[in-house]
Amino acid sequence: MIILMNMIEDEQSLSKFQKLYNQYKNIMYWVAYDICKNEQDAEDIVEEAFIKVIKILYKIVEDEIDTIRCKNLMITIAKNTAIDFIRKREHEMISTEVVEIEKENKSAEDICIDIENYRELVFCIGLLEEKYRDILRLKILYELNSKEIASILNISEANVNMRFMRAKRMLKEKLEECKNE
Amino acid sequence: MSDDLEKRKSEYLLKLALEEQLEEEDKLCCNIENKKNIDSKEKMLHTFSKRHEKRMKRVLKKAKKVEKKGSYCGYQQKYFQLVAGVSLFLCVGIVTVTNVEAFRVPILCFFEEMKENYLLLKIDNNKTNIVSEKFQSYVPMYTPEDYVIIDVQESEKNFCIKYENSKNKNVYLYYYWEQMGTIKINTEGAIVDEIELNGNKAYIIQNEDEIRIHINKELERIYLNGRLSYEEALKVMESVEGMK
Repeated sequence: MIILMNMIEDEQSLSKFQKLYNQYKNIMYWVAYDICKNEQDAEDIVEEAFIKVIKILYKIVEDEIDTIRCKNLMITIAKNTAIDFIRKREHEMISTEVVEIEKENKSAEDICIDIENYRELVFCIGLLEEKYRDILRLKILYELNSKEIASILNISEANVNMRFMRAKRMLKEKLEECKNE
Repeated sequence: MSDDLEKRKSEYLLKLALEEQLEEEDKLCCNIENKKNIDSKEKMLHTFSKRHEKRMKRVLKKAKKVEKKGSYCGYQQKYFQLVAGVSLFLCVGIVTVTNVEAFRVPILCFFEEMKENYLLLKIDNNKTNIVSEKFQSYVPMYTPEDYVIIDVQESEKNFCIKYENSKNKNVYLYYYWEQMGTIKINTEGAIVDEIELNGNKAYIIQNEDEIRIHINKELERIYLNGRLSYEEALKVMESVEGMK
């Protein structure tokens, strides 16, 4: 009986991807269209973006498809896929991406956060550059690994780790600036 | 507070902060759109081309496979957990039960009884210990191919062994009596033959596919009865060491 119930439950969960597609195809299309300015290209970008979504499908909880978190993830994937699409179309080599090198040979510094600094932290996250905000969200909020993030952002794994370290450092600097003010 | 705990606290707060900032950003966007009275592109539905719909069907199929695999793995994992749980329960149960003498003794007696009553004996020409020592020399050393011993009955002065062919289920019985008086044999419609085997007189009665062989040595008698070829039956009776 238990086995049967489990199998029934699995039948229902098979439509998770379909739900995602139906929910976000439109917004992803417009995000892609804003970047590439071409209808057909935008549709191709949407298709490519959803292929990427398949790889991280296990991370998406079906009950959370309607949340802002999921929406932001889909938009991030669509946006980065569109940027990469434009680069390829204009024959830009992906290896010309900026390889972020840390000047100091330190491991990632951990940010010490107290509850008193919480409101400043939220504010400082908003001040970060979009690419650093995205990497923090993908790594911490969506708990994706470096390989998955590299696939979404179309950068190397090494660059993912470097960008994440830099994002944390910049956030820490902004937080200290806020405290001093 | 320890460093590890401090680190975890910071990570948790960062996660909350990211989530809150995301929600604030989303609210801000909605407010701007409302103020400017702009219809969010989100609300403007785009009609996707048939080409896109066709290609997305393939993507959907791929996604279904991935989801199915994931759910199967999850189901498999649950199944393995269930099996592991049941196995653990059985192991613990068996260990507990066998450690308690009140349970152990009756269980062992039960299995002993089963072994005595129902065990299927295998043919082994070298072993005659299917009967007690005093009868062992009267057990045939030869057993025809595909025949196995399926039953042994023994009393103080005689024993009987039942053989069965594992392929065609033919059966023959072998008897030994320590002391046997005169008996009458029904030979109606049968072919009767009298020969000498191992220095003893042997009476062979054949009736269609059934054979009976009686051999006497003083008061001792061995007797074979069943479905067996003439040659094989003779080989069986010749192999009885005790009658040589």
